[in-house]
Amino acid sequence: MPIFEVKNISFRYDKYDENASYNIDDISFSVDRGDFVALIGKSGSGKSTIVSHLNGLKKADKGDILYEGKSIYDKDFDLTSLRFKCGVVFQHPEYQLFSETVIEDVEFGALKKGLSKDEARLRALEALSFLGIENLKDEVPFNLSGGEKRKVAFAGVLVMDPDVFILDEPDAGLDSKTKNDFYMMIKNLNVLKGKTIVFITHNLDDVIEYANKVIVVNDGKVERCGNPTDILMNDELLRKCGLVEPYAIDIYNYLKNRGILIDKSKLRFNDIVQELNRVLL
Amino acid sequence: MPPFIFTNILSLIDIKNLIVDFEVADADGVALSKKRVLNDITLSIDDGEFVSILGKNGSGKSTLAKCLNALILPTSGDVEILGLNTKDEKNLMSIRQNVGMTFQNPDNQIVSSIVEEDIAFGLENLGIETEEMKARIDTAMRSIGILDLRNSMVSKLSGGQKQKVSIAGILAMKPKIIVLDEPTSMIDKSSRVDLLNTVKYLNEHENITVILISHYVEEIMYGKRTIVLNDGRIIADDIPSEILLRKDILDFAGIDMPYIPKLATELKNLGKKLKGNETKVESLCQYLK
Repeated sequence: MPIFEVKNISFRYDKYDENASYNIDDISFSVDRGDFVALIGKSGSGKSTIVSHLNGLKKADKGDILYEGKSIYDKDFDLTSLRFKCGVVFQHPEYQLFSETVIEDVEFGALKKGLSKDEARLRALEALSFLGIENLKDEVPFNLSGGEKRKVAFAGVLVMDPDVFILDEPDAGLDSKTKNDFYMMIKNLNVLKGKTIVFITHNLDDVIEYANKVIVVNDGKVERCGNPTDILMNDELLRKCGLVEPYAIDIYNYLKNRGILIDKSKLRFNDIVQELNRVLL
Repeated sequence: MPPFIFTNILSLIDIKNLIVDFEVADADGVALSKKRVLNDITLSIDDGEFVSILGKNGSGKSTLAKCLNALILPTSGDVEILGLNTKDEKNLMSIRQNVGMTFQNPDNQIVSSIVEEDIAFGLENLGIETEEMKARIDTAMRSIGILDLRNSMVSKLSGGQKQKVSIAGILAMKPKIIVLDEPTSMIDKSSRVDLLNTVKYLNEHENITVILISHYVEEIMYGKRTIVLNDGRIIADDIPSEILLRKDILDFAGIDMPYIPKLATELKNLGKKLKGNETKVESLCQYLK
């Protein structure tokens, strides 16, 4: 059974005009437990609006969302517990920071989940050191830089140990070293702990590197859903959605045009290094 | 190159021994501790330059940017814009008219509910005539590629679209200096290239001085000068292509090579016939077996 089943949801921001068009329209897809799903699409295509439905932050005007087979819109459904199981890091981390010190901010979720003070503190410290920002624990979150705030917001989600992580452009504002570390950490959560990841990104090489499923959003609709390589090799589809093919596919095509076929399932960075090592002088 | 001393020439931006401390206070406002965010920055930027600023998260980039239009004042040292000191309150209006700035989070600077009105807001405050205002708004929206959003509600825009609106609002004001703090962090790749080309055009043809904060090597290549910050200090100041050859500096700045040069370096280390700084697929794959 999929962990999330999104069934024909539509949503519009304009609630007062009956003729207003839907900002996202007839969206359907499913996410399996342990999936690493990427949502891609141009700015304004509806990606953030779609993911903010998953833990009930926005309520669809039409359609239904099932979490582990149960409708989240059912009046008996426990939305609070869904939000503990499904952690979100927003595009702008400052929207989810509010305490006077970093450590208080990070342990907040754990305390709300019912952990003892000592245990919450311990988990918060673990999360901070996991992210390499233990030294910031007594800082005021609002004095931190954009990238640091993002890490603190992520630590706050990490302490709740959710089953699903929803990350809206998690790499925006991170320097590239931090970004790589961050993705490695998410990958570990996915592979070692079986966490389900849903993330939004504009970097299609990262999609090839990490995702096992991709959802292409165009103009408020799901344009295509499936295997990253197949989708990112579809030139016509990418052009239609205003996206530029990733470098890995560039290289694949360049070699293909010269009669060299490399394995389609081997397009991650390290695979490309191996393949090029084989064919280059 | 021998050092050139600008003692008599007035720079557009002149920063001398700038130190900024952030105070950490308790709930009653009693200072508990201090954190030095910028540490003895001395820097001058001339009219028409295109400078990019690199550095790790927390290295002081955004703080430096905010010192340029007096949003943050020096704890000690001086920041002068067109010879006007940011510490002097009567200079504030002229400084802010000359230094247009976009923040990391566009929600912090969008004021109106409709896109066109938001872009007009700055111009209205400058007292620009209606006709001129319309023309400037059109040009700004066209160059950023958001003409179709003219009558949209700002609240319904996505993060990336808001980023574009805030940049158009700054461009329409035609400031002498534009400071862009990670302007493309939420924008797709093709719009990113368009936007930077627009900024480059304004720099070259309208003589607008550009200061671009970025984490992307592809973006610093648009500029002619790159400054690297680490722990609140300047650790490098050079042309971008020189900075890219300095592995130690890049490590300090938390910068990773873009995809193709990174591949080239890996393959060079495996003994392939490559220089290690190739940036195009064609040059990377030129020596096929």
